[in-house]
Amino acid sequence: MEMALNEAARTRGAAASARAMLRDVKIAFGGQTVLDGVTFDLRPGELALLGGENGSGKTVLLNVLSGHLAPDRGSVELQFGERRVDAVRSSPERLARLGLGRLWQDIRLFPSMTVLDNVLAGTAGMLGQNPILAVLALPAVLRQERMARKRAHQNLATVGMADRAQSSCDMLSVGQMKRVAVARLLQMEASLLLLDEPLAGLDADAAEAFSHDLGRLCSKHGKTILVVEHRHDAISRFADRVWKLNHGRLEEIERSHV
Amino acid sequence: MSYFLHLLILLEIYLVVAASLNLLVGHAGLLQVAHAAYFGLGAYTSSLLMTELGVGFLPAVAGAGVAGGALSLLVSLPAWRFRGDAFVMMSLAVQVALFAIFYNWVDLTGGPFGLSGIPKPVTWGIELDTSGSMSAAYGVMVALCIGMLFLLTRSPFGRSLQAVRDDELAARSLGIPARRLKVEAFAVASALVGVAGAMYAAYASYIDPTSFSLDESILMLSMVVVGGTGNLRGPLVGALTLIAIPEVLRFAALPDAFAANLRLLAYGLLLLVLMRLRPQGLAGQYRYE
Repeated sequence: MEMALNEAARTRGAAASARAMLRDVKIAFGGQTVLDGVTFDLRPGELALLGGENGSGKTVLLNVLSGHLAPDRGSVELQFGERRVDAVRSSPERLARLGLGRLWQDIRLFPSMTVLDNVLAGTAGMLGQNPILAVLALPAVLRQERMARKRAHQNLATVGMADRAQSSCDMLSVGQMKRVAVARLLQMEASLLLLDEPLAGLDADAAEAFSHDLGRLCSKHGKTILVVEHRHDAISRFADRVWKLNHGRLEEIERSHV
Repeated sequence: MSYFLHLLILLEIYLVVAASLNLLVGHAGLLQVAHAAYFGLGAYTSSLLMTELGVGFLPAVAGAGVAGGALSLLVSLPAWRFRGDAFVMMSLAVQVALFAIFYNWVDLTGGPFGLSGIPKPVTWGIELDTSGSMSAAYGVMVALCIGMLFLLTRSPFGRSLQAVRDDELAARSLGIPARRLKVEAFAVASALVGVAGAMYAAYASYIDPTSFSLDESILMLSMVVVGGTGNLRGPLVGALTLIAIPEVLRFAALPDAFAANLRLLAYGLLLLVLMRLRPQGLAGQYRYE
């Protein structure tokens, strides 16, 4: 898988580095504070591990970062390469197009589509998404589709799912679905990855391998990653920062204490 | 022979109707209950263009398509909550409003008396005044419409639309512009059913509001549900089945009043049986949950 990752990076070029800056973010639901003055600066190429009890607001924090939820107070600034955007004022689709990829806790593959089409759905900037260009079937549109398919096959090979390209997604195990979702993120060429419990449903060996790959995505491919995960053991040794949400407040944990 | 050609022409028209509705229901996941209203809008637009302004058949067909697409944009752009129940209620409102216009704007539409004397199609100087020539010409038009839908549904546009249908939140998080895609799919489907309406008006030579009622919209929706959604076989099978049922009953030589009710009963029974035994329709891809 490492060789495949290196190859993928060489063919696509290094992804633009990304950075996430939160300042004094507060959000409450029904009078109950979920995030209380959360501030952090996740720098390019860093892998941060975010822990906390169930209901401590970890997924809410990811929703705020990905533009699905606007905080009551505070600023959320994301940087993709040279471009800085205010996530509070941006739609999730705009942030995704700029380079934010998200792995959902419940995976969220498209159940009626094949594995290959799920990965292809992550391809950004397809001319054929315009219905007029799609009908005209111009050579540029067809060429782009061929290249996207080739890249999707490469990404599926990267996660070890090349032989399941034509399978229906509802025939996969949880672990296989996760791998397809990761291939979809690779297809997006996202530079900032938000991963919500990526190890859930994986056995110890698979979790170890997955964590190792995450570490490599940061160190060798410059991805910036925020992982929400209960299973600290597997990921923490690859993490640059370890955070914990405690009653809505973010605490940084010394690496030596993990 | 002319009877079978008549059935063939009806099948051609309703194939465009069902396939365009399939783009909305099957691929975009939008339950449209106003398709007959857009069908009627196309029929009235092309008829008025031909009878009042002397426009030729093909430009009138294009005008019908533009009218359908334009109305869909007018309806969809201000509709912020463009999904689920909100879309159904919005389309129901469009159906009721357009039917009321067809029925009550007597000066323009002829009201309950309808429009008569709609000229037969003339294309490139050839008058399509026989069932044979009309079915052949309509066959070409249908092939173009279906070909366009085929290209659309096989393209990144179709794939993205399917992703939105399956899981809009996940699709948006991949950068797929869900709202824009739905508006575009709605415009394409409305334009195509407008074209089908123009074909119907030119074939029938006479139109009145009863052909564009809520009952007709439900019949069109039934074609998609019976045939199945998500591919092009489903609408073909659905249109064929629902056109065949009244024709088969015709041969049973039942009294007219009884036959009309029996037809509705047959449609209802077919839908019930399919929902129980084959929720994806006779030839469809998606299951109705």
